[in-house]
Amino acid sequence: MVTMLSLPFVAVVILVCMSLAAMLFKRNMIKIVMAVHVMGSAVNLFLISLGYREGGVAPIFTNSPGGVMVLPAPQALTLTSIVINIAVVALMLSFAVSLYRRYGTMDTRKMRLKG
Amino acid sequence: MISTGMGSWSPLVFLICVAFISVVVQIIRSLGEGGFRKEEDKAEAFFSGGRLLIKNRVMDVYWGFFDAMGRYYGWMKRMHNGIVNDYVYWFVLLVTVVIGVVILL
Amino acid sequence: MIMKVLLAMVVPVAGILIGLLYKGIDRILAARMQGRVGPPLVQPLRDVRKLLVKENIVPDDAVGWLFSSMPFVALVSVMAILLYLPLGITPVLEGYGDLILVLYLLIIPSLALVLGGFASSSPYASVGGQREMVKMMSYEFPLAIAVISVAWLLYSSGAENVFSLSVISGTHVWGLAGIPGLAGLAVIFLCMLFVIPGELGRIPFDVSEADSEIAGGIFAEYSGRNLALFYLADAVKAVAIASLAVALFLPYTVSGIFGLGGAAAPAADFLFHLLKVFFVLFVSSTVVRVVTGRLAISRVVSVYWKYPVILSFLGLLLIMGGTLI
Repeated sequence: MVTMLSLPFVAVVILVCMSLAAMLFKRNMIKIVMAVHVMGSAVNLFLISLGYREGGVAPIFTNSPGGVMVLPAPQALTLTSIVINIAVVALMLSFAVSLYRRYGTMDTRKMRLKG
Repeated sequence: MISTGMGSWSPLVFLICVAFISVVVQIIRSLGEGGFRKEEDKAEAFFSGGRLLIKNRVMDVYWGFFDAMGRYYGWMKRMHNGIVNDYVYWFVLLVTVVIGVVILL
Repeated sequence: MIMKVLLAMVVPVAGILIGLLYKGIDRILAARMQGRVGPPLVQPLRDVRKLLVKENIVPDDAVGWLFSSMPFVALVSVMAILLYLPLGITPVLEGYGDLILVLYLLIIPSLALVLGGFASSSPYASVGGQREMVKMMSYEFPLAIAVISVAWLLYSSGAENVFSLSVISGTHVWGLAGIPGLAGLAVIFLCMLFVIPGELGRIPFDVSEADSEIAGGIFAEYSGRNLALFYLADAVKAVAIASLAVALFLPYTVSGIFGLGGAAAPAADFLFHLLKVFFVLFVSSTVVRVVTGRLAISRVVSVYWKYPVILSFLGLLLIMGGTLI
């Protein structure tokens, strides 16, 4: 049963499926790189929404209004994950550029990436 | 004495026996001739039809094995095209199989 | 103790003489089967004497130390195997080595042949070395399955120390697992007989020393005392592998039947062992080499990977089924 609370998780599933479909079926290398980035963002969304507590406030200690706070640890992990995603996507884009220089095309069906 | 639960071997005894047998074989070997009279071209490798122009290089030692087993792994070689999408597909398939095996069993 | 040391000195030398005797018998019987008369029985001894008199030519471009030491290594390792096998009597080095060690030591003579072939600077010799290595890779698998099947059968019927050769040759395996076990063991014995000509390099598996195809193959550049040592290694290897087959599958002794005791019992057992070795060599090596022709190397690989592997797995399944019933 789908309540309002599980909406972020549904969004994560949809995002992952869309990016997987793009990675499997799209030919353009830039689109595949974009799909990798979208999947990374979906995982970040998943991490953040795991830490949500019902009616919680932001996990800031000074002058907090009391009550339940959302979990801070996933937010720290997500910051790290964002940085790592940037590095991965930057590297993949540089691979795409050098593959374009080598093969003259952005079409993955025309490349034989062996050995 | 090296013992592994089921079998056993003693390298020291083995080396002593090998030493003794080496003495015997050396005796047999010394009954033969050591060298040979150096005549012209006697110590060339046999190659019917003249001298050997290239020196011997060992390439592809396992040719017979590859040739005989080729029918059984040729389909795997053909599956390895260089297309990225197919490799991602195999990754997704295998992760599904692994998760299914780990969760269901 | 003194007896053991004395036996350890006598058995390898006796192994050489017995090996040459079997080579002579094999040549006479093969000749009679082909309608010829054949050489006299001591012909292999005369061959060795002739080889020892000839010059020992080492090619110019050969790797000298490897070329001359490989025949030595082959003969020494094959004579060392004889000390661990039961030749009618209990093995000379009984507690000091077992079946797995024998399996490993059996690889060394073939490997010495391969290295000797590569060390000669002749292209014929390296082709012969390639073929020998490929053939060795092919027959090791059925040999291992055959040996492991017998050891597994002994283990599941409660023996301890199943890899020790005195335990294996003391237990009669043919009745241990019922009718399916009997069938399985017969199939595995057949696989072992199939492996023996490949291991010895006899026709149909003598691709590495093919006279007509590659001008002598591995032995193309060998002459004189090196070739004599390889010849002797081949003769002793026949005794070793046939003794292994006899120890695994036909370990019967004859001194119990006749009630001999004292010093006559080991002598009678030894002579009966020689008879059994002759039987194994006759069936697997002599008859087969007279009847068939030489196989090409790719055929050797596919023949060894198809039929003995399937047969030995079938035999193993039958044995397992026999122990379950």
